[in-house]
Amino acid sequence: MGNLFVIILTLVPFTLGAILGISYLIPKTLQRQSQRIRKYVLIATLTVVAISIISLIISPNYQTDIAFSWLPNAGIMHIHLGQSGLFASLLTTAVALVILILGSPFSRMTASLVLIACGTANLAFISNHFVLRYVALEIVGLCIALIPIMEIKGRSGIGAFRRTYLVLRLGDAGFLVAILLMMRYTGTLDIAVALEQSVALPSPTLTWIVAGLVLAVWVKMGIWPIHNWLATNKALSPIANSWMILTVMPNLGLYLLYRIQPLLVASEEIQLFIGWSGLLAACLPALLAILQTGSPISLNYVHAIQGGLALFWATNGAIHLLPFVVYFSLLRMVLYWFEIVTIRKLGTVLLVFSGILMLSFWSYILVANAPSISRSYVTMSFIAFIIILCGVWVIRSARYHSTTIHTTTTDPLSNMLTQRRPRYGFFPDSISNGMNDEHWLYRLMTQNTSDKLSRGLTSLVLGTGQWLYRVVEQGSLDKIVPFISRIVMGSGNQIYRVIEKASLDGLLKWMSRIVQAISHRLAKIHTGKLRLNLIWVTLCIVVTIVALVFQ
Amino acid sequence: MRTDKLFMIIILGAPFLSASILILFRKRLTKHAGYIAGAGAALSLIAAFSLLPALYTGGEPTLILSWVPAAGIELDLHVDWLTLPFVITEAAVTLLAVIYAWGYHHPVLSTPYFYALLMVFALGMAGTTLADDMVLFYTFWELMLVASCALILFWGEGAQRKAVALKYFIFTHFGSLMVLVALFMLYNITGNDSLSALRDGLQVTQSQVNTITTFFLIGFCVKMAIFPLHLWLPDAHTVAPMPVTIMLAAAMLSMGAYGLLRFPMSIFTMQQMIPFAVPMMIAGVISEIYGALMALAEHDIKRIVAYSSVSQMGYILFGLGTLTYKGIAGATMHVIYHAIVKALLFMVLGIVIHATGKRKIDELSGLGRIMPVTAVCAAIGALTIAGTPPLCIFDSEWLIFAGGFETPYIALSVVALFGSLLTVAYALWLVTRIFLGDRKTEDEVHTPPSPALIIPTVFLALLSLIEGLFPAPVFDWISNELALILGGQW
Repeated sequence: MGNLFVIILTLVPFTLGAILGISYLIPKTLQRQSQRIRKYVLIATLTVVAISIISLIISPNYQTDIAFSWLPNAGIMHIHLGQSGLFASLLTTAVALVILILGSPFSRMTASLVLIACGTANLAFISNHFVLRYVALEIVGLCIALIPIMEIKGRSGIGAFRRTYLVLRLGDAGFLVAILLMMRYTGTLDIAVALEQSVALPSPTLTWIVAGLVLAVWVKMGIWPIHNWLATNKALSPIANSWMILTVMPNLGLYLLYRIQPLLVASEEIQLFIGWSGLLAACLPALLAILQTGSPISLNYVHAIQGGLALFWATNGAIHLLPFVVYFSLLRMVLYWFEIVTIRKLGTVLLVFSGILMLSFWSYILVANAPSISRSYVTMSFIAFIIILCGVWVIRSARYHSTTIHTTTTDPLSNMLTQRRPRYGFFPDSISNGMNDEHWLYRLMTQNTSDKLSRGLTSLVLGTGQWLYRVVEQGSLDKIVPFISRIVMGSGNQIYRVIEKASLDGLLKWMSRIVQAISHRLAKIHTGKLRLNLIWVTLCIVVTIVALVFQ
Repeated sequence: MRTDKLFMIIILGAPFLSASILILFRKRLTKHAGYIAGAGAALSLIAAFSLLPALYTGGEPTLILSWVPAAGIELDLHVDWLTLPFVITEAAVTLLAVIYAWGYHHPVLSTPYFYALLMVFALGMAGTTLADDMVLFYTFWELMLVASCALILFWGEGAQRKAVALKYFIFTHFGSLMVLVALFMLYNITGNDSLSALRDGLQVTQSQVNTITTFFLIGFCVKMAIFPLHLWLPDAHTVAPMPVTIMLAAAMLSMGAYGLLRFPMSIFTMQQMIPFAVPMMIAGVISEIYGALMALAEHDIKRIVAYSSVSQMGYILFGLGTLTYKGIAGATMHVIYHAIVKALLFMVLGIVIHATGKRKIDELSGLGRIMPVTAVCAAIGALTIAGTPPLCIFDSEWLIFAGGFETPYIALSVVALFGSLLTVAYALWLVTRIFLGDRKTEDEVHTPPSPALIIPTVFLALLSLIEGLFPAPVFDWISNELALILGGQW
């Protein structure tokens, strides 16, 4: 029975998705499918998948003996029906179902990619073999990267595809380095065994392995500054945006973090370094998030905050808290689209509710369950800072959703600036532009004039946030991918000119000229006149005689 | 005569016979020249596959015919597990290239010569792999060069074809001379020109090993187009007509890898080859990254894929340089899979050039809408060469990198692995620029692709998926081959 359920939650959606995708190539008469039928097929398939996962969760007796050998020298690939993997799989599938039920239409290719991604993501969650998981992650990554091509016309969709796929491959390269190192030093690709044995490896080797794994987690969870591949776009359908881009890969990244957590705490240096990296990677997007209220981009920053904090908690041993990150991410995603698509007021209420839950959760961690490293004053201050900024984000989001109309623009700053506000002399233009006279921040900062310190602090935080957004986000990170691509292309062109054409081809031409010159010179000396030839013959005879004499 | 010997004769005899028929009866066979060449290539491929049972039963078919008795030179042909994957790859690529040529090459009076030279080219490659005698090996090696050079010289595209043919000849002949020097040195040391005898044991000093291996490495690296010995390749691949380009890129480059496996790595032991491990790995990584960077800098679509060959051969040299079981197995698998994907990519480009008459990537856009099947094949080709699972190159790259991580030089392996991201970049750039985006108004499809162009392309796209999903049979062949490499002590 376990085998059947495993097939249902992996192969069935994958096969249906592949069939749907291939049907795109057959003659147009066969392509006509009603959008409603397509949606029902997806909902029915994902419902069956969800039921299968629930059956496996509630009946731990169901086991699977699915094992196969595929890649040379990679051993037997197993499936493991562990509860954590099944829960992650269920959450991911359930979100897809909710968004499908509530969401607006989508193309056939999107449907195909959703099904393929669902099947392979489930396989990644339940596989107990590193290569199988790697392959599943790669296929999910490809499906995610293909989404912009399918739904956005023109060059921007193609650019997004290339950027997303390359960034995801960067994470996969890190993962592959870690896998190959673990295979070398532990002799196995079985995830549980390899991770267990890797804990005891010497520190330099462990550092390489952890570096590869953390790079993979960093990219997949979209932790700052590698969060731009998560960029949402309202041109995409809800299922593509909220599920394919913002749910599947971050969940897979988080689950990977959950599994590798024992390695992160195996060495104190690694623990400290990654813990602080995670914390810093959460602080900066927290500042940026509060400036992006109401924009889909703010969700990226909140993702990045949660990713950074998840990394921090994982290095501090708070592994049991990680599933809450998934829960909050998913809840926020669903609410976001729910609010847009259907009942606005209810959406606002739920958004606030989710925000309060999130704040309570982080406060609980801060106060009650903070492990050793996070108990230092510095880290406590950082976490408190993040929680306060998250609180600001929740309240501003709630207010924004209940008072403003969504625009189709994806640029958060222009979104804010389109609503012209009165200028307030007290604040710099950059800040006063970001407020309107009904805004609670404005009231806090202008009407309550006695609280200068509060105003100063708020002004400082907002100003820093805007500065960060302009300088770091727009000035650096948004430009970093084009910059890297320019660097690579430019260096390619330079090498082409300098080495390929000027040096190698040039050397060749130079050598050819020298050879030609010598041959011409020799031809002049050697051929033609009889007396010259006779001189050569005489010279040769003399040299031969001399050689024979002095032998 | 045993059937195995008959099959060996057919492998060489079929292309020879078809080339002879085409030359002798060229006036009558102008329209049917392609089919005769196709029949010759098909027979050769069938005969190559027919040798598999003999190898599975532990035999190593051998054919010895007296050639120059006075000089003691014999026509020794020998098939073992190292030979067979290469023979099959070359024969399959030849057949597909000939079928492709049916749709690409319009029959004219000189067509029989074209197909005859293709067959001579195939004969040279098959003979090189089957030869069990140094003289025979070198003869076929040069035959391959002469035939391909003549094809570029007479059927090449553009005014530069004479210069390119000369450049190609000089470069590859330089490599051949290096190989010849190494062969002479081997003969002087052993007094034997039989490759089987060389494999059985050799009394040489380490300095002799170093000298011979250096000459072999330079010679075969020219054929593999490893940086900086690659300069012949972009021009030759670009100027040659597409069926010849397919054979050059997919089959002839692999002869360099075969040479390395057949000579230094078969006749010397692991200990003797260890000094060459790091230089080979470094040269491989440099070639991998350099080729990918050049592919990103190019604008001619044929040159982009040509430079990708430089990069892919880098992977192979890196895998061979690891001197590990996985690395060498991966490199040999990569030879086969590279042949599949490179033939596929050149076929796709051939269809695009044939249909639009354009080769500059900036002039091409949005062709996916009018050529959906070609676009899907191109996407499969790009994803394959980018090492995306479950397509075939992933399997071989997995083994190559796994081999790299088994060496003490992990940093080199990490560089090679991250360098593969450049391959992803140029592969995606090439395909998305040509097939996606808005169609340019001036993009007119002059000639719709014929089935002869489409069928082998689709076949190769499917093959790259099938091979990716089921790599076991090919790996089985190669694991048998590894018993013959570096003394077979794994």
